[in-house]
Amino acid sequence: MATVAKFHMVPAVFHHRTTQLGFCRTSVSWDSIPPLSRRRVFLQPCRSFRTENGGAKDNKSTKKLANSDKNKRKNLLGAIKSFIFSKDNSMEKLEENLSKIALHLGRYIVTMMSTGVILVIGFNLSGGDGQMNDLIWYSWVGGIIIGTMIGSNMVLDEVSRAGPRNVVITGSTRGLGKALAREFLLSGDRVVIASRSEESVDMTIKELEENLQEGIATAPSSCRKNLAHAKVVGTSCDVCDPNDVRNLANFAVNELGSIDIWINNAGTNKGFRPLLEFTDNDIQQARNRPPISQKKVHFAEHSANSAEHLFHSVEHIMSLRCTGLWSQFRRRTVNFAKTVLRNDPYFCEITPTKGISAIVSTNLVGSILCTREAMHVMSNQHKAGHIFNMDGAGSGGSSTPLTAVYGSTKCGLRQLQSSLFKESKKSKVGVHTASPGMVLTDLLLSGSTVQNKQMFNIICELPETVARTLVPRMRVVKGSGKAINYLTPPRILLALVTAWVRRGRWFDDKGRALYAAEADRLRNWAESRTRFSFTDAMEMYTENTWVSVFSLSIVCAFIILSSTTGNASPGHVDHFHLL
Amino acid sequence: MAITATATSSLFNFNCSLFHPPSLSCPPILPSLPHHHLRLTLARKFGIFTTLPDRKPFISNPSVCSSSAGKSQPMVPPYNILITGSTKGIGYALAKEFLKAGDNVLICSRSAERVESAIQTLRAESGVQHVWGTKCDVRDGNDVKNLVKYAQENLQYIDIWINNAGSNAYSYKPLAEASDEDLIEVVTTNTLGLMICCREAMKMMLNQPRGGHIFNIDGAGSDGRPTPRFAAYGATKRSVVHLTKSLQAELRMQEVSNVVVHNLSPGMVTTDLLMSGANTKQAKFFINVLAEPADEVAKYLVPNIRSIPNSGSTRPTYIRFLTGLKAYSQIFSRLAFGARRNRYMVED
Repeated sequence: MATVAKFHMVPAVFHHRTTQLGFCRTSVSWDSIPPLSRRRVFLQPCRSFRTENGGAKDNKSTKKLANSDKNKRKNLLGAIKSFIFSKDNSMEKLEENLSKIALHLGRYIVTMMSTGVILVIGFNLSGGDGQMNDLIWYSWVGGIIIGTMIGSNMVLDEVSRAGPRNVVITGSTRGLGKALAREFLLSGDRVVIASRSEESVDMTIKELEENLQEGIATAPSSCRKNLAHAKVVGTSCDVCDPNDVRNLANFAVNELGSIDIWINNAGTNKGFRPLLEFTDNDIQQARNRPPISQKKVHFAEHSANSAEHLFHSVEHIMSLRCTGLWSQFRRRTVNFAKTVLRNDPYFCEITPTKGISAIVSTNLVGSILCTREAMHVMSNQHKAGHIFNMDGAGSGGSSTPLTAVYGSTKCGLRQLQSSLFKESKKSKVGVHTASPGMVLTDLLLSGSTVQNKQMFNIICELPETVARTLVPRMRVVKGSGKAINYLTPPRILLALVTAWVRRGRWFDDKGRALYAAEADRLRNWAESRTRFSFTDAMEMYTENTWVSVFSLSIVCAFIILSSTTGNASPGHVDHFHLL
Repeated sequence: MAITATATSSLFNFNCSLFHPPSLSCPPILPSLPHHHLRLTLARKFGIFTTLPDRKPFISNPSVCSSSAGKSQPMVPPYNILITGSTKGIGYALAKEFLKAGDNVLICSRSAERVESAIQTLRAESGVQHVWGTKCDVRDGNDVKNLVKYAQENLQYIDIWINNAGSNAYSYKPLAEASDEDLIEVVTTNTLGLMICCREAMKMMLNQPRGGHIFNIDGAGSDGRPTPRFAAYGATKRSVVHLTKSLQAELRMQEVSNVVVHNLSPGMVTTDLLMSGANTKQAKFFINVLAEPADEVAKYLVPNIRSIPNSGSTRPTYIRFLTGLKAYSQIFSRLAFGARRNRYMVED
């Protein structure tokens, strides 16, 4: 904890210093310090500063020798500063940073003052008892330390969350991959999407761009600036093909410069069947999906979307708001359009091409090749990179009848992850796993039975929900070997406790889907995006804050215990004061 | 503690693996047709059934399975054994040991020449004509189907099918440096090949009145521990164990009791594959302490494998040569008394 706190303070202090220097630049001399000869070579490029106000400095230089100790540091910092902020917009950046620091500093001072007030109240209540006063002092110090740690953590997270990431997601034209791409995009990141079919990549890019425009339109002005760098590009890539993967990596580097996050999301299952009923058809067949069905799907999607647009404009003209009946009517109509056009609205997107080979190639070969390529790219770039492999059923090692092939590939991936973690210990590449839990996508739904669906009601989530939880944590991931899970114990507990309520959540008892189509869902999401989610916030700070809260409670317990051993005491004051 | 942690992680076996390009010419191998009349006719009947290509998988209808199980015969020696990837290493040693026990053995590998030469030596060594062989690349579904056909033609049925073909492409490198071909080779042989073999073996055995036992050979990483320097291999071997588990669960679901899938762990075997990775101090230490020659391992494994059909057990098992206790005691004796130092190779 302490180190984290320190880490946070570093940038703040640094900015602080640099800004100070910026304002009293004239008093700094550049040529005055003989002992810095080695460093001065390094300082040479910054000479331009001297020429601005060189004369004055030269005059001062003789005087300055006396307090050269102080100047050494200033000089160095000045150099670094000018090195960093040598561009024209340096002043703007400086101001921005300064205001940020001032804000944090102000917050800190206010907090400290309020604790001071509490401290005074505590002293008053203690009535001059020496032991009590000591206790109050101790608890005050404890409270300050813990508070500082929590606060610095939050600030650190805020800092690390800022700035666009360059993200590559494989298999991202459907399902969870698409939801992840959208979520990254709306967090202001630059995203590369990839999938086997070029056609669907193009469609997805268009769709995501639309989403981004909507996002920019609806976002408050403060967030709009974050979205300025967001963009989405894509290329077709079959993860089983080493050349394709190499091309994808090159494409990403050409488009974005570097890759911060690479997500191996491409995965396939091909339905729930005993192993005996899987054929070993070649990869070729799986690669070329039946063109008719694909076209049909696109057509259906387009028509439904246009129906959607029509409704939207009608709403606009009549200035109708999305009241219950109207929205229900709209949704039903759109769904009907889809149903009619492709018989089964949600699951028949792919006619499952059966093949062990396709599953093994996509899940295991694909992940291995992609990971290796991402490691190549990331070890050659300045910034650290993070690779995520997606977990699935079977990762934990428990048996997965009816999805034996899928399960064993995912199980193998988990072992791969642990080997890679060891291999990449010394490099700056982080390998992580992300576990989405159970997501309502084609992967899960193709070939599932009514009983399965009843079970899905309880534990499944929409891809957007999962992406919304995973993405913020993927963006701030540090180190290596982390596991980012959606289905954490509290969530599982919640699902089990509310199982009865969730019975008809996604599917009715005949297995028909009750949830809205993707476009509809997105509209609702856009509305609720900004809303604060308690569980999300709780999950975000699990590792750090709960530790703090735990130590806080220990301090409280200590105080209570020690105050009961003393004379009658206002222990609650201490509590209050710590909180 | 550091030692114990790495010890189990390097309990890898490197089974026989075959990398020579398969030659097209497959010399006809004329086996002497074996055994009793009754068995032959029965199996022929079923053999005809199974070789029909477009037939619906038997498994989809459990009642049919149980009806065939009703007429099931007890499994009596000599057993018919099929071992994939069995012209070298542990596969070859197992074949030899089974022959010694009086069983009929079918060997196969990717190279027809090596199959032929292995058959010649096995015949010469054992002095009996109970060995057959064919070319088979386990990654190719048609090859495996042909293997099954070949087995049905020559041996009528298979009692014990050992999935031994495995590969590490003889390379010990960090994943970031591994080549495309190596990675694809490792994954397709170890995972895809095994899955195809399992499926074909199950299909075949479900139609046999005697049922059958399938053994999948595990390897380093199958316990989930990391295997740096051969990450892809470890991942595939982990998936082997998981596949076995899932298949056991599937068979249980379908109430099939006469076809059983087992795991088989030979531990560390001093085959080419293992020795090619012995270029670090740590690897040399563990090879000297834990590895055994293939013959030794086979001598232990074969009676254990044969005891399963002998006892008529239908419970899935996990036969291990190098158990944890054994490994730890060997490490301890090495550290305490210096036993097995420089056994196979000189340590620094």
